[in-house]
Amino acid sequence: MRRRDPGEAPPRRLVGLVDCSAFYCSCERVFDPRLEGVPVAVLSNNDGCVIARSAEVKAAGVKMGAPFFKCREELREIGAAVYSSNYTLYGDMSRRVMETLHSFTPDVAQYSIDEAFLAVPTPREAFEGDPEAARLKVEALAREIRQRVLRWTGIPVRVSFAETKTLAKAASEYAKVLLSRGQAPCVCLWRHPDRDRWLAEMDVADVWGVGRRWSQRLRDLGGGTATRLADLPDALVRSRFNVVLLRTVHELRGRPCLPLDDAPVARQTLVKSRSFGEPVSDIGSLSQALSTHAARAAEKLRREGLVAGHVSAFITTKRYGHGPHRSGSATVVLPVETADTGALIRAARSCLGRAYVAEDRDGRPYRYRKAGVMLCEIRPAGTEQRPLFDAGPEVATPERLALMRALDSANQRFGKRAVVFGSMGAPETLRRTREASGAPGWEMRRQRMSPRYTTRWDELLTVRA
Amino acid sequence: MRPSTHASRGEPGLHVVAIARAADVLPFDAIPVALCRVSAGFPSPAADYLDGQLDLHELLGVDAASCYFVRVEGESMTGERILDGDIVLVNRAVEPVSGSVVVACLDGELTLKRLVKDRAGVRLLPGNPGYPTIHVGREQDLVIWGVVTFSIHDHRMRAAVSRVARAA
Repeated sequence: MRRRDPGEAPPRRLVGLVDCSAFYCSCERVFDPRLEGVPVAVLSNNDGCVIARSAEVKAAGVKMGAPFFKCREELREIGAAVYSSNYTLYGDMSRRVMETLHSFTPDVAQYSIDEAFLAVPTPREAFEGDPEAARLKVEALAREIRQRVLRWTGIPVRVSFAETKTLAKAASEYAKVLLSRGQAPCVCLWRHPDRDRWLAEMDVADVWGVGRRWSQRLRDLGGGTATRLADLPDALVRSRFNVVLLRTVHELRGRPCLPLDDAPVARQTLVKSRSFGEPVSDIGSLSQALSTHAARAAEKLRREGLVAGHVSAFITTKRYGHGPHRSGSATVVLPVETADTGALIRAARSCLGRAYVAEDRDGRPYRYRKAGVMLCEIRPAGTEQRPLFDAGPEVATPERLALMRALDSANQRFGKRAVVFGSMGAPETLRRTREASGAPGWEMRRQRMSPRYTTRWDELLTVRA
Repeated sequence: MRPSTHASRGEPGLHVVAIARAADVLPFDAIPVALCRVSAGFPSPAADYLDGQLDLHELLGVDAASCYFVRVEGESMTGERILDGDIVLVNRAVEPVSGSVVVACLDGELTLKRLVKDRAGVRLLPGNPGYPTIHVGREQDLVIWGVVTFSIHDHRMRAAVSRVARAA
């Protein structure tokens, strides 16, 4: 690492990364304290794969993304509690964590459901010739942040500070090491005595922004650790890779290049799809599923103030399991871009009509395992082209827009799918989520979901008096 | 601050203080509206005495990240006027001092009791003579989940009938 000369001015502010430990598992533990010390795993949609592991499950060797049917035995042997993902709960707990961070500083940039960057001004001791005192102050703040988040939400977090986002990410790995030694996972990498050693030991593949593709090439060029990567000449990085990696290199050297709040790219596509709980062969069930996906996609468009011009629908048997396999899809170009639920459902069903094949040449029915809707040609609402020809019954008249607003408002107030279009299926079909009924339902399997403790009056945490 | 100056946080000599986020300052629905239009009709004498609406969220502190609603099952706190089937608001941010009604986690089990800490040790008190005081031993694991701030009780006859029906 290019040696920092003592005359270099301290940064004006320090960037912190707050990273929840095993977030989904931690959420489950908050509301069921008996899980403390018990291995916890959370499964993806349809109870398919492991998407969250507590420390104990990790230690037992269960890999992230492992299919549940493959590690079921292993999990049973270690006495793990396994849950279906409860995104409603996780989303609300995430909001609470972020709000807690806001109580420290307004400069909070949420990065994912369980991570956020934040910025704090560098303590004045740094400018008064005592950087060590400044660093200790920042570490004390980091511990205070961890304490408050743990107290207010029950979620354990790592807090790591550094001059740049990339270094804060690197410091977070170091915080994990501290935790394993029984210390608080709170660290300030800036002016830390172990900084140089730690970055010299860090594999380049673990640096934020360096993917698998680049890490081997970088190793071959002599940039196999974080330190060595930072020492590569700019010209080499720019010519052999790209400016994105160059930014990472500068950030590793301590020069912030990434804004705290990276403005998200305007959405290009929107996909809503789900795998089925049970394979489905009849066009009626597929139609219901696609209507529901189209409705959800329409809601999201409206929420984000967008409209879409192309609607595609796809159905697939996937490539495993018995039976003939195929995938089919079709696209409809709408006469005018829209976010109208009715229009999008109509388009999706029209696609299904063209994409659906009931059985193969030998008369064996196709057993579809997944269906979805994809919207493209997405633009901000209000920029739609006026139609040259008849645009159909769902033209965005003020009445139609008011209908959509009323629909969204009712669903928000009374719960998702309180008001639905008939094509989405009867209420019993829609609610067949947790019951193991004999009849096939295309709703996804979520047999081990915990209650929505913080968003449903009828699913509150119960305490014995 | 002159318009041409670019102020940044932490710059020595320039002190920028964040006061609040706009989203926190505006109440969620109580934005006062003028009671009458100035142009036409009878000007209301109340126009100068505008007030917001009573905001339950504000009174109870419901919106805080640390507040959770919890349902109560059981009779041990009836003397504290927390009854079976009530909902309590639990604030994890409040310091659990001796005398607080708390949701406590004792050896992994959640329970609603009054916390007492004194020279004699730590105890969890029920609010009903029919239930025992729990003395928390040194080897036991006690974590306070949160402090109860408010409780919600439905006084309508229907609720009383269903409680009686359950007891029968």
